[in-house]
Amino acid sequence: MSTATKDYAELHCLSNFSFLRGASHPYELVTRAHELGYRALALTDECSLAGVVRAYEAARALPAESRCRLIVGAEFQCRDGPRLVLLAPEQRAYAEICQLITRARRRAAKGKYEIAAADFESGLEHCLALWLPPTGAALTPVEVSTDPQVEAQGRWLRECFAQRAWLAVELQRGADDRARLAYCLDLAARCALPAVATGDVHMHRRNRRRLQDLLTSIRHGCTVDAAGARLFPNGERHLRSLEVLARLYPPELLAESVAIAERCSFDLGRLQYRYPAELVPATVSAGEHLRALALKGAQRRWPAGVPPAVNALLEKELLLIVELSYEHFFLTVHDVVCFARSRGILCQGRGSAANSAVCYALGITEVDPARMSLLFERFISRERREPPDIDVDFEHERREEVIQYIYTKYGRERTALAATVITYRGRSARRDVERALGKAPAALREQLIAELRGFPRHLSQHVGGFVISGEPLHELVPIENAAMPDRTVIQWDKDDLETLGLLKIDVLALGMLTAIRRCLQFTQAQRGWPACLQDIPAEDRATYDMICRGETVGVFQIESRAQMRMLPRLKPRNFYDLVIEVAIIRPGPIQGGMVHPYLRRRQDPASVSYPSVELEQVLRRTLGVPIFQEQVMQIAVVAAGFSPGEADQLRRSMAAWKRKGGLEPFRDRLLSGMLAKGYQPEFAESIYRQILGFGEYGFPESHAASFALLTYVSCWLKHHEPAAFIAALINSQPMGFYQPAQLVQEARRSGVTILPPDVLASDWDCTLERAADGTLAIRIGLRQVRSLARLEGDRIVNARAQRRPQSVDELARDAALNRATLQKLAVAGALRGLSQHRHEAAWLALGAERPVGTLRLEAATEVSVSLPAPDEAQEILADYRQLALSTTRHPLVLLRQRLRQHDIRSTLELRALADGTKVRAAGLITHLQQPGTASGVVFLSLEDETGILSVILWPQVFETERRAALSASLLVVSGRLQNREGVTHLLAERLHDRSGWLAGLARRSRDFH
Amino acid sequence: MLWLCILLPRHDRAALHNLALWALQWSSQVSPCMPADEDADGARAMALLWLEIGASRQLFGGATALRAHIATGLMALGYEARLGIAPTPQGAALLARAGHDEPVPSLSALRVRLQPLPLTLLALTPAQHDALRSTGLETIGELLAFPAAALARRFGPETSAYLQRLCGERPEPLRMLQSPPTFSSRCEFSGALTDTTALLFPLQRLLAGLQGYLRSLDRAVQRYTLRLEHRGHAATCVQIGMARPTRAAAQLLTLARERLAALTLVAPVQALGLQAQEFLQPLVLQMDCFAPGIQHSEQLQTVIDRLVARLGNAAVQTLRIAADHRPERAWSALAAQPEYSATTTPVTAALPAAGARPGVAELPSLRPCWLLPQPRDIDRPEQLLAGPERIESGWWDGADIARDYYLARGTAGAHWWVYRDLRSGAWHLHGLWA
Repeated sequence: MSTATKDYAELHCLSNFSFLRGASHPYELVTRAHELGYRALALTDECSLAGVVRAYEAARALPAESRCRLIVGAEFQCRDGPRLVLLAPEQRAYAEICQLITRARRRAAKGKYEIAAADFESGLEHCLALWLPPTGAALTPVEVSTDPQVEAQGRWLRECFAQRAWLAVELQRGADDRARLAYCLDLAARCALPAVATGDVHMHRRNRRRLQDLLTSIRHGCTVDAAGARLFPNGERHLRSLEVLARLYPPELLAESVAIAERCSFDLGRLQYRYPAELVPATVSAGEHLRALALKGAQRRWPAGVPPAVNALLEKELLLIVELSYEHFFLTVHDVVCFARSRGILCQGRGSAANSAVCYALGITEVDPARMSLLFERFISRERREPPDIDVDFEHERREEVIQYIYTKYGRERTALAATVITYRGRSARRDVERALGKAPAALREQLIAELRGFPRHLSQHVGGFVISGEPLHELVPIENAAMPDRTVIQWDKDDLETLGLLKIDVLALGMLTAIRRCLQFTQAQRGWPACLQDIPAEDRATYDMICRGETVGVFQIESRAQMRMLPRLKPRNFYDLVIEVAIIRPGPIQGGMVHPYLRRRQDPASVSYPSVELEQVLRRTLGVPIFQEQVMQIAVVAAGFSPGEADQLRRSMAAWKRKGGLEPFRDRLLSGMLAKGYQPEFAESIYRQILGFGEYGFPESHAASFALLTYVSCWLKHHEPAAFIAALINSQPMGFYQPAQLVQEARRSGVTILPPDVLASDWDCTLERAADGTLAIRIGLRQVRSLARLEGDRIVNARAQRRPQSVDELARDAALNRATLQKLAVAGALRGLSQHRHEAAWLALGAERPVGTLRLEAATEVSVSLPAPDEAQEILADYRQLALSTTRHPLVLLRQRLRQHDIRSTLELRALADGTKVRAAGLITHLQQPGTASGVVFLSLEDETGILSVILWPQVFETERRAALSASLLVVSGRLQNREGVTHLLAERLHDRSGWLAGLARRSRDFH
Repeated sequence: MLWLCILLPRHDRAALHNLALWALQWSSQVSPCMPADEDADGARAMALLWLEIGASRQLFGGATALRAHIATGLMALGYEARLGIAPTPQGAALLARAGHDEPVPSLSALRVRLQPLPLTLLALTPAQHDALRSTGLETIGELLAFPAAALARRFGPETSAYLQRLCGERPEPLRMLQSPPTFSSRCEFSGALTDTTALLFPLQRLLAGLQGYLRSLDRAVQRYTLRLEHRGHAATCVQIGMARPTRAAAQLLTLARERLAALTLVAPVQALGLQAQEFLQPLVLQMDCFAPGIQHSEQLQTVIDRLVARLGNAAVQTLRIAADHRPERAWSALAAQPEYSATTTPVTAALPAAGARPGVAELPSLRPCWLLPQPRDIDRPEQLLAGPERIESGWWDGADIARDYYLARGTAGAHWWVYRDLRSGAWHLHGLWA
């Protein structure tokens, strides 16, 4: 057999982006095709290009000289008959396929497509088409040769695609391959189509057959057992060796595959992409326009004159931006931010490019480069050619306005969200495998679960990554429907976009921005200051004092239990400390074992040492401990001799290694590189471990800086304007870590008076009222009244503005409230101004007139009644029931005496006890969490009238006490106290559900017998 | 009028019916009441049985003595019931809920008794209870102090009507159990019973019902039928006859115990029924003799059914093709009568409709009609005429195969269907073409 016949290009190959059909990742297919010496591989997923960028990335990594080329294509099953594969020989054909897929996907529900033969009859002037004639047992040669429909399909294809159509012959060692081949050749001759060998590949290796069978069963929603003939009869649909193919197919069919591949010169890497041009006035270039805007912005930032250093930085950045043609990207972000600002929507950019002088001047970020000069080591790298990274956070309640602006401004043709590829995770993989496998042996099941993990399952919409294009997007990438009506997503995710150098803007939602904006509105209205972020004084000592005490309930990022525990130890004293604080309590640094070394060094500065002078440069600001993603990359460059480009590869592989592995080569390079430069193997190993830890959670310094700014602002507001801050937080719910009940407690601890909701005084939102002594009090808004509709709340406020109601009946009439609504208000205590007490209010509400059409006859005859007034316990419990918070005292106050009898201490008392004391504590459960990082340990927050206590439950304790932990509203915990470095927690041994004590408060003691 | 209320925490319609029949021995006016809706909770989730005992109490030595009789009877039958006695049915029910079984003889005494009791005992909807709670009222006395109009306006006319029925200011509409001409009672089990001795306890309850019923009619019985219901099987009927008529439950039970002990259950028992039609009333028995016999018209039976009946199930087989790529699983001989499962389809049905059935659509056709029961080891055939057809399947059930099938010329010119095992390399003969 001559080598000339042993040449092949696979033109029909599905990856696992043909969801639940293909059983191999795109990179596995590309790599395997290359190993086998294939000339080319066409990735032809079913009506999808979602996997092509990953395949392209894998192909690009192959050695250039012998590289198996990647061809882009797609497979289609028409609703009315033919099944075919389209291939893209050139960019125009590629655009045609994108459009076709877009059309087929847009007219169907999310995740589906709909296509008919007629769709192929126009608009596909440049594609190549492979016809997949009907197969199956029914089509023995005898039957098929007499089937006029089949032949008609072939002729139709020839007419549509003229010299660009082939009949694909797929031989899979079926019942009678010889007959099938003869039949296909005969059919091809009769339709006057050339024939070509293709493989209908579903997996890169034969050993994926089990997984492929499994996927088929999952797709059909049945067990493997019941899948029957829906499974393939054998594992032949893998990438077969050239020898095997040569035995199966006549040489001319194999040669034809290569000939077709030769026609395909399209390279995904050369995709032409243009930014929208409308932001630049016709008379100037984009670069000039950006420069003008930046300089104007700088004047605004530095009214007294731009410092020379900043000016130089600006010029340097602008030069680089123009050189890399990123002007449009900055202009687009600027435009979106300007829109938000014009609507009074608070926003802030973050990311490496965001923390530039240009972005500060443009108002995209508030992080002053003069204040943060340390950070600008990763703006945009000329060498790496890495696209600039800017995420913009907007107030969570108003992000939709921004999104609608983008859609309107650039049109739906040119705007779409990036996709997020939803993949099988441990739990979902287990669920589907178990469902499909039934009673298969455990070992087999585990093996398949492991294989399935990381497989794409479907496309979903990215949280806010917009792609905006100068040309219609569907010529660039297929677009499909998202779950939300009127939302569309492209078939690529953010990594794909980055691979191809396409720019996206992340329009993200951030609850804290909403809260800060509301808080600033309060302070401006009450005191005239601060009115905007820039008004907040920097480096305020009292604010840091509060942070060091761990009193951070409600603030941004450092409010979690883990963070609050660290604060008294880490003691942040300046802004950069906060940047570190934000970044360090994260899975990456924790998994990398970086937290405690950093803590030690911080507590004992004498212990800080650096492995080398070069690394001191990189690590000095974090006391020798690598904390940020940027530092890890710099270490790779400085200590292991990576090129900047390689370091960037490393960064991207870090994000993906959990999904597809592939970090081992970097490990060897890193370790050998560092050893060569004289570093200790242990240090090298710890750096590698940290890279693994960073994985999906790696936190760049540039993001941490923007976040830290909001952390600082929220802390400042909490310390100096607690009433405004807490009221704003409640009004921005749901967001953050704490519920209104805890926020109100926190406000009370800060000395803020809480005023109960009142139809005569409350707005829908919480408001601030000035007390007699000049301090601000929070008036709880009607929004807290359980299940009260916004419309009803607004009607109350409007009616009150017209005329102050004198009675419940009047209120009912003026605000058109029905009895059920009045009842809600009564039980919530919001009718207090119109009644003696809650019970009377309920009586009046129940007796209220129907607002319309009822004669007022009975009212006159009603005798006034006297009902028992509620006691404090009843008030508090009614508050909790109807407002989800207490407007007076904490319910545990009422139980304190009883708790004392049971030897139960308050949180405050516990802080003063010695480490290791056996104690009992009680409180309401405010949080219960099982963080993935801490090996099954459960954390529980217990709130009493003096504060919040952290309770730690080891897995075995949680298992035995699960019921109490999950269902108790009042929990008593006995255990051992841990009291170190100003941090208190309770190591639980037993839990007791004492919810009955709470409920018992409501009952008046009375003899029922 | 004086009402005794039996409150049953678990509500089971059949049990309540049986208990009502049982209660007929104490009163001719018995009214069973199931909770109105399945989702009801609290007071409204209880099943109730009311007995008017004003007329009969003297027969049994007064209300307290009667209550003791009934309580003892219920306990013997294993019911955890609570009792209340009051001049109104709702009052009796409320006292039962409150756990006050001391009889309250008059309306005025009832009002006094209700005064301090908590509102939670009232049989009202959760919404009505919520409304009441919101006003801070806690006792029935506090509520009854308000004028009916004020209450009706706030808590609905149903609430004030209920309160009036409670206090006897308004009659209680009750549906009385009509004493049925024949006895039929039934008891369902939450789990199937597999042992006949386990039937004795429920049977005891049913017989108690029968005994109460017979006492109320002053009759006796000589014969009754037990009906053991199974899932997927016809019920087993056991006739129990006695030499002499009786209505003593104990005696009735003894006979049944013996019969049941000798019985082999065909299937687990889901429910037990008890029927008695013939009471000691000569006329009825005579009429029975003249009752026309039921003509059983012969059902049309299929040929298969007759054959099965005559030859036994195992002897009649039908061919199926199953959707499985493994040839030995692709078809099989199956008994003619079992139910069709999702994976097997009768040959006759599958062939014409093959295209419409995803499970069997693509089964290859080039297979011999006759497969050997076990593939036979052979040497590599000299002449392979067609193939290979590769089959790799079945990894999930422990019968994984990986084979290349060929059409081969066998000895004497026969066409063989042979395969090479891809793992061992060995050759096997699997089928023959006739």
